[in-house]
Amino acid sequence: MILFVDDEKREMDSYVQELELSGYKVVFKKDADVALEFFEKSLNEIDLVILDIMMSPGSSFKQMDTQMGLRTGIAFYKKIREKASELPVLIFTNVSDEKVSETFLKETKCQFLRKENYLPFEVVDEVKKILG
Amino acid sequence: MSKIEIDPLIDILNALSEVPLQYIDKRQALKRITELGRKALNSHACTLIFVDLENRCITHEACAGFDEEYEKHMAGRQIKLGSSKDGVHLDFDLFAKGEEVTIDNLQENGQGVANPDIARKYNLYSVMGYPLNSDGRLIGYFNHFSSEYHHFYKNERELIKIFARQAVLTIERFEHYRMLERSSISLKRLERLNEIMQEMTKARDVDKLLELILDRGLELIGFRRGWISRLNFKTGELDVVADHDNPPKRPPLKLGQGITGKALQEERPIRADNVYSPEWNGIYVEIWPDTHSELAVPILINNAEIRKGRKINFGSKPIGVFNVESPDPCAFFQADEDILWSLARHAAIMIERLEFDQKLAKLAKIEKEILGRKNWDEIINIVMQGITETLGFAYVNVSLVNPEHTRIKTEYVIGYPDNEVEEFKRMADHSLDSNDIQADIVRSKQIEVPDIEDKRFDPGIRKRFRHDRLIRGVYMPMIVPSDDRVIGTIEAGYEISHRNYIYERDIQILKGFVDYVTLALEQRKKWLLEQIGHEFRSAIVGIKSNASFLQRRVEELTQDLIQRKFDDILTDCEILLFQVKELEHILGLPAPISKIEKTVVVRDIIIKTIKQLKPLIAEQGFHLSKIEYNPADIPKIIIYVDKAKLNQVVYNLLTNSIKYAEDGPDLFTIRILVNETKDNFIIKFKDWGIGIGKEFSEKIFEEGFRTPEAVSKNVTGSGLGLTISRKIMREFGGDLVLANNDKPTEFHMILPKRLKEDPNDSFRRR
Repeated sequence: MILFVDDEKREMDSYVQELELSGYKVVFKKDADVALEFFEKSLNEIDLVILDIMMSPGSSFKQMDTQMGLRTGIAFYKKIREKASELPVLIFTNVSDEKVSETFLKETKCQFLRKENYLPFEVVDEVKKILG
Repeated sequence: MSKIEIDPLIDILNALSEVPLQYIDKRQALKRITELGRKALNSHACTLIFVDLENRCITHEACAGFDEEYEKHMAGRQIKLGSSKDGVHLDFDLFAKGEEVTIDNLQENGQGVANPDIARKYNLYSVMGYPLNSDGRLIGYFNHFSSEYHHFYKNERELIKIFARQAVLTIERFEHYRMLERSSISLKRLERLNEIMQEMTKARDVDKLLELILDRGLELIGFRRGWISRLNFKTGELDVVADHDNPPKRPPLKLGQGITGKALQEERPIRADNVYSPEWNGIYVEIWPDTHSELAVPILINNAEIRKGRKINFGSKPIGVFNVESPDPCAFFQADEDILWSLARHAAIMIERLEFDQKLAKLAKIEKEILGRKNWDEIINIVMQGITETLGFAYVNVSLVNPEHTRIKTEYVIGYPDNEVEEFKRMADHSLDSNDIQADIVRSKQIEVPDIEDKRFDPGIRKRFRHDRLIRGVYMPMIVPSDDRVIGTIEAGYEISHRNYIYERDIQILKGFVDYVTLALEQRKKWLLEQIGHEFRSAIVGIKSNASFLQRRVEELTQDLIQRKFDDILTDCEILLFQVKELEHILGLPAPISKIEKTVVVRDIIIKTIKQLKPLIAEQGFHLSKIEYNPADIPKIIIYVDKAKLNQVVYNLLTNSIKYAEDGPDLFTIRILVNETKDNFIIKFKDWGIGIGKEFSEKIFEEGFRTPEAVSKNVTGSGLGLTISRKIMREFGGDLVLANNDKPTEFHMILPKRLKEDPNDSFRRR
């Protein structure tokens, strides 16, 4: 199962549908709190997390430094790694700040994609490479 | 040393100020100064030398931290500059420069200044020599030695600078007191002068300090009729700031006018024994009708740091005049003049210090005010007011480099008559490759006070705007600290007739302020552009992904899904257009020319926008039917208006209601009602969303402002929507107001009824 976490549901619809039509089961969560709860509950069923960076921090991330939501995805990623160090994560974002991409370059089992550079079928190709 | 410790320093500076009264013998006084310097700087050893450039020699005056043998050996020892002795060659040019000197390891290399054998014997390792300047002239050096390798940090340099200045004043006062004694001023009077000076250090406000100086000054010489005036640098007038014995009112004197103005202009006390004698004919200006004697003592700083070109120099800074008058002829003696002159010099330094602190405090307030503002023009105007009102500059010019980094152009200016501003701005536009002064400042990144004859001034502007009457002030680059990029320049100046120099203290205050403002402006722009850039990308990614999905999968999709995809694409296109308008607003680009057309507002704008927003509503899980309006309202508002602009306002209000709705489809409702008054149509937009805190009722219309609740609900958003919407409504002659904060949140769009008239018809009738 792919957990897709992004607060822009409408803009991500085609990506979700392309994944589904390609045979993947996708659970889409637009709220960081709900997504984190789902992640913790369904950890064993999740094969991949597709994660946005700019999202409202919700109550789960208020205590962490999210730069008022501009970097919530980074805090979310840390939470993922606390529980699942080997789970593949695909960061999928519109954030253009290079410092953010550099943060993830050092990570293993983690890929960083800028949304504007990937059409839905191209994201499916990347997912195939990750999940085999 | 991490920071300057203020309390012990004040004790030492106070002890320093006692030296002229405690010591009669000069050598003992200088020895005490050196000992106090050693204590202030926590030195291993200190020396004090006097420099006589005219006679090309230095004299060793005093030292601390050495043994008796060395003291005896060196006391009063004179060394010729340019001569060589004991492995030391004192270079004349080194001293002529008058700059601070540091040497890292005296024991290995004294660099011609110190003898390594002596350094080893007395365990001297590193040294900093700080120049002592009086009236802009080098009089000596204070040398601060360490016993091991030592780097002299900024705070330590600042400390030695403070001490050196105070030491010079102490030496001057010592000389002055001995002179006062020679002019038979009693010791009692000198003691009283010292008490007054101590009292002055406690004043925390310039006005109170001036009152104190007048009170005590008159008491000191035993007169009751007097006044203190201050030079107003903008007008060149001497404004009376404190007076005794009710002087009759008269217009302020100008610099150079009357005995008062003459004393300040010539920078010396003037004593008139009989103001009606021919000597003062045409000079004396009457204040009290029965005055016969007048004593005018200038309040000025002799050795203020000034900037000439790119270098620091020294010059006098006129502050004001202490005037005493008497109905008796020959009322004042040399001793009165001398003691008041001494008081006035001390007063000048105290005033300067207090004003420095006051200026910093005022600018700190302005910096806070800027933090709350998001509008570029507003920020620049607050900055320019700050520079003129707080720092006293009469003329400010802010020039900005264009985005292509090819030209620099004056964008904001204060100090010109209103009818000349536009012409000046048009002419002050230069290529960055040119020889123009502004272009040169951008290239050099240096602060500069150019000479009035500088060849880099545009001759056309100079002639047209009579710039020879100005000092042409200080030119300062606005540098973004993160990438060292120059985004513009600030030029600030005074009229040349009222001030001779630009003072370094003002330049440093201005620089701190300009650095702060440059950073704040850049950060604000970057933040807004990042927000808008993100929203652009989101919409483009939406369009691209939908188009690609349709292209590849159209055969497999239901008609309904295909329709939804097209709706999404159209909505994203609307969002993009909306973003373009916000970007135009940020960049200050003019709005496209308006097209005024007949509009049935509810049908053509409101209902149309609701339909356009269908995908956004669906995304939140809401139903379109929860946006309620009364079809009977459709024919009520038919006006002639710029449809695109009105559409932007409605779009903004509706998207806000959708974005900031409470979670849960049952909680979502938007209700649109139409009312009218005698002059206006009022369209009410009510929603039951997260609401707006009462404290933010007006702030939500400020550029860039978003409530904390809005930010937490929806991260993206530039905070420009309501600002632009209110601006549009006001352009129509109407308004946009928040009528209720919460449950429901209620905005009123007010449209004037006169928009019912067809402007094209009325134009034809005319």
